[in-house]
Amino acid sequence: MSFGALAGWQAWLALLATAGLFSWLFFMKIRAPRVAVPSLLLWQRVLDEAREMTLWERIRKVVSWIVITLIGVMLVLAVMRPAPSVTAASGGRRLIILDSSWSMGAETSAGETRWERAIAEARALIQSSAGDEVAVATTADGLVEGPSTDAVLLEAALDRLAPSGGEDSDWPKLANISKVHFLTDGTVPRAMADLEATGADVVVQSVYEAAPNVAITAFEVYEPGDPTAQAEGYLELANYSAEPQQARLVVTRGTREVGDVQIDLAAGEAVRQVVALGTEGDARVRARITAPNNALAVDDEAVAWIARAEQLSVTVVTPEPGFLKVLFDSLPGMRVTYIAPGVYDRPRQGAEHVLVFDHWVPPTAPTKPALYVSPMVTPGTDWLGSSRDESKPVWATADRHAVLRGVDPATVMLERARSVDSDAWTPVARSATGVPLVSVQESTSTRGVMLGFGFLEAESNVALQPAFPVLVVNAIEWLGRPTLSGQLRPGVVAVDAALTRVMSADGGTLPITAFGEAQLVRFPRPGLYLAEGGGMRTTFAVNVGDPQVSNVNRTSLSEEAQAQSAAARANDPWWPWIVGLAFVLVLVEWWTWHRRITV
Amino acid sequence: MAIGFDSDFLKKLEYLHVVSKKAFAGQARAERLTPKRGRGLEFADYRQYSAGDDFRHIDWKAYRRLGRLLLRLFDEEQDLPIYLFIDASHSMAPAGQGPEKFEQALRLAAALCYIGLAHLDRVTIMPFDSTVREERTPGQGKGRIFRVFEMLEQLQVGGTTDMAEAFKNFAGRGRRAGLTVVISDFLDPKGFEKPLKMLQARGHDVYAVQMASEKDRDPGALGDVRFVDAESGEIRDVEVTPALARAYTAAWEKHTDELQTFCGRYNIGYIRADVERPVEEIVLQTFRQGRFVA
Repeated sequence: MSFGALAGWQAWLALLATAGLFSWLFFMKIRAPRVAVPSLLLWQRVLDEAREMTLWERIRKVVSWIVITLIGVMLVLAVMRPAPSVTAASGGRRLIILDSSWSMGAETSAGETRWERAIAEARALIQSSAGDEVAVATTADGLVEGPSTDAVLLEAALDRLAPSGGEDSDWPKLANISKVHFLTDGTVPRAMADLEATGADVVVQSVYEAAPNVAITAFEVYEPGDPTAQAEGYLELANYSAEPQQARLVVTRGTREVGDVQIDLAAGEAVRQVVALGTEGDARVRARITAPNNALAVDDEAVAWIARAEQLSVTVVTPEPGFLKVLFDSLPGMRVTYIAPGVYDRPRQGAEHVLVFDHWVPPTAPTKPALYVSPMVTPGTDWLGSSRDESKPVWATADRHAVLRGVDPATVMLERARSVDSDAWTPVARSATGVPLVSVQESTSTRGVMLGFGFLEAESNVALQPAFPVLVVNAIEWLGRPTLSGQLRPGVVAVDAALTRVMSADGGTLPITAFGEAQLVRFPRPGLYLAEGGGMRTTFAVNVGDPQVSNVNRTSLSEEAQAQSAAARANDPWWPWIVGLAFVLVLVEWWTWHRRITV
Repeated sequence: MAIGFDSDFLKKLEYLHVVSKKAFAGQARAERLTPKRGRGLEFADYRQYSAGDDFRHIDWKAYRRLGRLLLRLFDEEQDLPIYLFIDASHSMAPAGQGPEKFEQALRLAAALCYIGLAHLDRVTIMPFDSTVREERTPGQGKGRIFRVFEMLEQLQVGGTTDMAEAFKNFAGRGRRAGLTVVISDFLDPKGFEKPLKMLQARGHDVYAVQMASEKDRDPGALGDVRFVDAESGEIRDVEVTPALARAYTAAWEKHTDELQTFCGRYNIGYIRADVERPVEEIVLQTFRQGRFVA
């Protein structure tokens, strides 16, 4: 027998303690009132001759004690959810792999989730593996515990686990495995070839049970360039059930509700919904869907971050703002301050998100992201590197960098270019002679963009070309609002190499793992996260938003595998029968007591 | 506890006397016929005159008629030794039931004393538990009743019942045989048969007065109780069901029947004195019906 609520030894200990407690309570009855009698002579005769002559009177007290103890044991046993032991005779080392994909959080008709069902089966497997080495792994985390023969250790590891995605993670591997138990709902098809290649006997145990679900499968926010235009949220909602459902979608911006709509979803239908998010308000946007038949909770909520809701603060250090002032005055969502080089004071930095150094280089490197326009290196500012000039350079090559997105080099005519030779800078656009025209710097301590040309008429025609605002805004955005590219989902994600810190909404810091040149962060759950690095901060959203996850009505498991697992789980839970038995015992004890006082 | 009777009751008691099935020799002249021939008023017999006999007792009419000297004999009238054994063990006044049984026993003893004193009998009060405590003899004459009251009021319950040991102790003192009244509940773990037979074997005319109370007879369905033996302190946890209570009552009745049957078989007077009944009723009705007093 195994127990769903406790480890085996804990359960047996609890049962033993219960039996002891009830026995103690039985014998520690309320003290009967003392009655003085002239003599016990006649009572002795009566008790010896009349009552104790009958078998029932001789055994009644023992029967009552046993019945009361059994009632207590039965009730505690029922709470511990006993189940028949899984007999998996094998011997040797076993690996229990729990499918930790999000779909395992789907609720079954019994009220438990697939994950809880898998955990219960894993416990049963551990309990039935007395003496064998067992290892526990999940598809998201790999090997979690073991191999070990210590059931307590293994079950404690099970207690720590929860669904966390991992659909794309590698299979956990362990040497010298004789048997693998894969507890899965089969929603995410996995190739098991490499496991079978280890020579282990792989047993797939299904915890699948079809369940209706309603989900937000996509959520994006469109931020228009025009500050007077409303931001819009684009949502995709899906009903993965065999019945039509009426769902309610609530969208909030910060604490303000910006949308509350009832949506009729046909069976299997996916609809797109656009929600106006307003022109002003909090940067946090949250969408939540509710429906009557909704098995999975993790995909009911999606979040987004409207970056433009936060104004960028830019400080331009220039002897003469000129074209830059004209440009920045026409840009929404930016607060620009102009200061002369002589006023620049490095220790007073702090308020701005981005610094722009126009034809001037500070004596020491700034700590904030900075855009250098035609930097003029002087003996006191040579920390930036040595500069060299090129007359009438021709923009020849350009990388596909975010700074250059939308810039048409063909329209740019350069009179003079000033490049800085430094290993810290990476050229992303060069002249025909190889002189860097646009360089970027990206490290964990700083981030910068250097333009080798200025915007004066004597330097280039850039200020008069469409490339001018595009190039400057690209640079400012890249410096001030770096984003993590693509739609982020929970699980392991490769992040910007410049990131030094990633925090969750509750303030916890997520570990960043260096993997070669890349950095990997594991997002444990959907939500908003804050990243820091290179002197900048950015907030980004992580959503499940995946039809593959939300459609918990399908499985890749064969019907045979499902049937076998269902049969193993089959048997109705024992606890209702045990409670019933306890009730019968209560009646027996009542009868015993009734007999005692009336007969 | 104050023992006292009203004057009417005392008056009624004066007309009664204790009936003894046997005649016992007394110590002083009184009103009881004795087996001895003496100077009483009651003619008993003749015998031949022999030298030295009192001339005053020669029946001269018989001499004239028969020509022989015959001496008239008369029954001697003396006092009757009455021994009142009063059970003063703890069973007569259990802590939970109160002293009613013991007090009733003392009142009955006082009434019997008064009857005896009124007829100049020699009454001896002997409280006992496992032995006879200090025996008390108030003297003769009904004026001594107040001394009897005083003696009885001083008695306290204590000890365990052991009639055999107590009566053996009494027998060892070499007393004259007489009327012996045992006032007790007769709940003696060692039994009542042997001690009563012992008294009778010593020539006493024995009366057994059984004290009983309603609580003794019917404990009721008490449920779970812890019985404490008033004498030994022994404890017994019992669940007193209605059936068990009925069984107990039956056992008590059986015990009473055994006592009554035993007394009948050995010519011992038996009287049951329930606490709930007034002393007057017990003495004037029950004792008379039992031919204990007349």
